[in-house]
Amino acid sequence: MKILSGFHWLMLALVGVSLSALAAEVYKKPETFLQEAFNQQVPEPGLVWLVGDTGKKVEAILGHPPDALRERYWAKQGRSAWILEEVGKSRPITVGVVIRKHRIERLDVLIYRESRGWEVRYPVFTDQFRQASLAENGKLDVTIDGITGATLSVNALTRLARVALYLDSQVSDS
Amino acid sequence: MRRLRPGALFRWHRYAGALASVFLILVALTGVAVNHLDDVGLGDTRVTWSPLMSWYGLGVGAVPMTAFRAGDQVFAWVDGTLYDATGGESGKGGAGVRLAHRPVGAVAVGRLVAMASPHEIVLLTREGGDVVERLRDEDLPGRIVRLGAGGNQVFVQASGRLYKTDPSFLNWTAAARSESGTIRWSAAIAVPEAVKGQWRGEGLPLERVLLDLHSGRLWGGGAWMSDLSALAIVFLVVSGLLNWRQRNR
Repeated sequence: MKILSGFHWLMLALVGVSLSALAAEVYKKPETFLQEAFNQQVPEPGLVWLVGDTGKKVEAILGHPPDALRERYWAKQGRSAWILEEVGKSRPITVGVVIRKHRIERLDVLIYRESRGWEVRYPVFTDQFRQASLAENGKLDVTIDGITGATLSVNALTRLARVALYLDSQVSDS
Repeated sequence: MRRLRPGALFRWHRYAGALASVFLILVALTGVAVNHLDDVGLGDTRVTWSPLMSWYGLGVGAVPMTAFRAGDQVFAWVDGTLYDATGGESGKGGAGVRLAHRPVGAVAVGRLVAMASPHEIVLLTREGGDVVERLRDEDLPGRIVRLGAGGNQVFVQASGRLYKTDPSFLNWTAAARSESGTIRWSAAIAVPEAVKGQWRGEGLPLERVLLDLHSGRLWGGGAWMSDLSALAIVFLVVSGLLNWRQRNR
């Protein structure tokens, strides 16, 4: 007895692909990212308040008010780690950034929730942020090559890199 | 051509009339009611009867919701969104704070309110309800089951153990069992009626309900039943005329 035809299997496969696209892809747990960043010796977190001039600057970088009034960071021996979120098109992308001497040491996509643009997770893209720092005009001092079909995700990661560098400068200077 | 036996047509006429009568009476009454709602001053009447609201998918029971008291404030959570419901009203006029999972408790500590769900704690300012921070899995000691306060500290029961933190929420440390006696655990309270009302809206217009009854759309397949009733009227007219003709012969 033939229960499901080829057409039915095709439709089921399409539904499965659609549902998987809606699910969040956890590429690396934030706690794993922190352990890697600090060689299993994660320091106590600190807080930076996104109010006053700091809040206005972050808002200018993001193009919208920050989602929360304070941001958590981890700092040890001249390095700071940040776990930040920003919406690419419709859903937030979680990114981990490690900064050393005001330059990005590494940038990892930790959780990706958008339906397209996931190519930004690959090291071939994220490695472009290595050694990037903030230029005088508040933008990155390196050029980030885009990915066709992932423009909004690329822009979101670039904004987060700028926010992380700016906040690092605030906590380092203080 | 085979002729219908005398009386057979009348019998079918009788059956069709009996079957269609219920629907015809309903259609007639609702039709008259809709035509004269304004005349009797019921044009703006809305229906908030819970079973009917549920039937339309607007029932409160169908929507996950809960509420907690934190200090002198009340926070209601409705289907993934958190509202300041102090004073029985949604303080933000519907523009609430996102909290994906059903909360397990809320406490007020210092100038903050903490609202906990199993995988997230949202910190809000007591004045204004602005989001201060979202503590996610990496910032929490485990899957949160209960949230409470004691003194100037916040306690959670997570992954089978008891943990505490100060109002900064930066670090969690294991709490001694002897401290459990000082904890006031947060418990859900009844969702304010005003919040339920906001979800339901003002209710359904009576005219809408009557029109749906009239067309049969109020129940599944009802439109087909109305169509059958309409066809039954045609049959009754035709069979009635034929019966009259047969009897006159």
